[in-house]
Amino acid sequence: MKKKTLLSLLVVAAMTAGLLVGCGGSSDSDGGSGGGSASTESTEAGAFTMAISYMPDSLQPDTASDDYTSMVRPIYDPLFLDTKDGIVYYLADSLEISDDGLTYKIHLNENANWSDGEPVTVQDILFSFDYAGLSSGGSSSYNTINGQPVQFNAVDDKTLEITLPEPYATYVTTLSNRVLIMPSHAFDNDPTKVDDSGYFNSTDMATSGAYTVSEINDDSIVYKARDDYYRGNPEVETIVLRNTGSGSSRQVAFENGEISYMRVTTKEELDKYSNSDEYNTYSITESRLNYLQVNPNGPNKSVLTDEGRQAIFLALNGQEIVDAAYGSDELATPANSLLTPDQVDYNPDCAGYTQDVEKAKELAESSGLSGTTLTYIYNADRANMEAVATVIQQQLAEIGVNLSIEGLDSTSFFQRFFALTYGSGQENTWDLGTNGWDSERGTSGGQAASYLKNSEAWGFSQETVDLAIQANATTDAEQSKTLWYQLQDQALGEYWEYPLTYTNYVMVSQKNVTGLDASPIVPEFADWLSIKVE
Amino acid sequence: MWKYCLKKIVELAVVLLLISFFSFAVIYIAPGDVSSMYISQEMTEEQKAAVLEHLGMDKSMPEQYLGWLKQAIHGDFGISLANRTSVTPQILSRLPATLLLMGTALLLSIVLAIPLGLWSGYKKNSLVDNAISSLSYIGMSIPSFWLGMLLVIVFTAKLHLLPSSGMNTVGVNTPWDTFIHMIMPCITLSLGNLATFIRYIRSSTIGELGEEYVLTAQAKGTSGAKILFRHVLKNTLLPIITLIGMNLATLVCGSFIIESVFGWPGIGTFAMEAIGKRDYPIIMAYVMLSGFILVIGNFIADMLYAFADPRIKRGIDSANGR
Repeated sequence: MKKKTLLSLLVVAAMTAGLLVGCGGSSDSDGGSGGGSASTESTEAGAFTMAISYMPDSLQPDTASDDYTSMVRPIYDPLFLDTKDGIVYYLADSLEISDDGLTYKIHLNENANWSDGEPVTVQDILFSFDYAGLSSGGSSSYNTINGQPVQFNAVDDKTLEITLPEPYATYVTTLSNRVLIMPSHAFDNDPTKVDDSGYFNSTDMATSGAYTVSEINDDSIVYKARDDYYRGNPEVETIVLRNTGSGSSRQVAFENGEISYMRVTTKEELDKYSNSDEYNTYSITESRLNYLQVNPNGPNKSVLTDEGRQAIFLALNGQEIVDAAYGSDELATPANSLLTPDQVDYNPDCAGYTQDVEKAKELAESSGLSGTTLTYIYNADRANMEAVATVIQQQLAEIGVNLSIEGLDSTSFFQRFFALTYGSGQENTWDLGTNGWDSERGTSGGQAASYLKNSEAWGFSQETVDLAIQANATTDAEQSKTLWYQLQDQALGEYWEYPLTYTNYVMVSQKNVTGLDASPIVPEFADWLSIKVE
Repeated sequence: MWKYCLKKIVELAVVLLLISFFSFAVIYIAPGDVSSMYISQEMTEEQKAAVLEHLGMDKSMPEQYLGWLKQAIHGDFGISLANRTSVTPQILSRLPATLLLMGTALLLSIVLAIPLGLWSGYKKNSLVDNAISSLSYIGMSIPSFWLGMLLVIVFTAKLHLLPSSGMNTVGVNTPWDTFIHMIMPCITLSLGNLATFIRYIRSSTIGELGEEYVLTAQAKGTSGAKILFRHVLKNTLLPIITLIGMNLATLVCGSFIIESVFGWPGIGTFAMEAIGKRDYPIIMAYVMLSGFILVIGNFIADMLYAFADPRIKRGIDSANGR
């Protein structure tokens, strides 16, 4: 008995010692060779490993968030993408828009098929639109424009004719960026069967992209390349989505070779990786405009008059904001317009705002803004926004305006910033706020068009509203350009939205990974045929 | 004794009802809701109203709460507002990963804390006791996320000995592989508990060593180890039972921080996502689960007291007039 007790004590002591030694580090040489059991999971040859910060609940085609869109892009193709160089076709092979801008004819690629062998048809598009309507109580941005219904007419299995109630250039963006279609045949063409079906949680689901789902594990998802993909055969055989934890954990996983690439958002990270021979650096435009909005309904609207707003905008220095918050022009450049350089109607010569502190001080005095404390809100889930807030706070302090800064998580932020849209009743809780418009590329005015049309929420004059409606309804390219050039100057002249930065999406990859910038689209990646792992 | 159990069960139901009401109220009051996923600037007022109606968010807070309660009583926690899938299977699918990690960590801390606590109490104020106590204080003071990151930096980034995150290497589903992935999160999680447990057991041991039955054992010439493990250990069980009861909830409901640092696919990261989206059916199910386990844990601890210490059972019985 005594021996037994002694033995158990010894075992416990050994375990404790093991633990303590574990905590205290080790003098083993770097590299872990000979560690035997302990595995360093380097990116396996031919496999492309993406880091994800949470395990998705299902793999249903959806573009609700950027992270999620990235996760499902390998398995679902868009109809087409609207890029600054024109439309790039995927499941569709043509889009014809009538001269009056009312009729859109989409033709699907004859070879486009689901991974279960069924062809991709017009029925799949209509089914997906019906489902979107069902999810949002009847109408969605696909089937309704300004409260009026959109008409759909299936010409044949591969041709869809869409008739809009009024010309609406943003509809191209709606069709290109947000649509990921579902296989209608899997649900007997009944969209009510989708929710809770479990179909998108199984490896049997039909996919339209270059990959199919091969494994869904507790902490990873594995996609395998299709051999019947209509656009050709992908070079990368396997894509692994790995749950890697957040922040620094992801950086360690990348440096340890466990993931193929990651995004970098600070100058320090950028310098560290771009100066090393072990990694490739890619910079693609994010087609994003970050801007500062003055709230026309805020608590200090009485001092945020034309003069007051002008004082704020003239006090700001865009280049200084980029230098301090981003540290490098590779991560962001100062913006000069409410459109991005990736939109065809962007005016590179739009003057933007130029800092004039003396004039700003005078205007702040005369408008009564001087000495006021304004409430400034920003989305803390977005990269670099906190640093931008701090720089703006300092710049406005120069003209005697104080900022009370509040960082909010996405959900809280949107309910306050878009208070009138959501009817949250919080429109009078903030004066200044920063937000961003993403995917601003291609032929339409994108989100700028819908903001400039809303004077109640964003302050623009009726004249600007009318011009925005006119610009967005124009189908003639030349006329569109003329109107948008005029609109860009006119909107800035009203001092409601200050264009802050055009951001770049900078990624670093392992040396053996190439082709990440072949399809410069954020959320990444659209064209999986160009990515290679040596 | 049965009367006592019944009384406890009624109390338990009331506590759970209160938990559910207050957590529902907190989510309701919190800024933002899931409708922002479905409403866009382009929508008309009627369309926005239709979305809110579809999500059931046009109703008042008591109406929403009662609707939820009615379903929950039947074991149906509803459908997630964000991903439109039943909540219960989603929670159940993530439960094993959390149970495995938390269970192992709790077991590890108990297995180590018992001998170390006993030893420390037995050798009160000696070098050994001081060393163990110092380590306990350090263990209690170190923030777990910091320790987690430190371990990742040392063992993954520098030494390349252990994988940084996740539960399995892709394509390798062996117990050994899971074990390798569990080492760092397990150490991080157990250190704090270990330190606390040692302190409780130590103080309890010191108290017990002053009792007359120990003196009797010593007089009979019983060895120190035998006194500790055969006599004192039994009597130090009470604080351990309390601690396990209290820790049962963390066992199931996981650790938000450690799961996100180590990318552990458990229920903590899942709930975190839901909180970000204000997906109240998932948050409510999570809160109810943790509340339920906490209350049950305490209930079990209360019951076990009676078995561990017959004096308590006699006390309960005499209070009930028997």
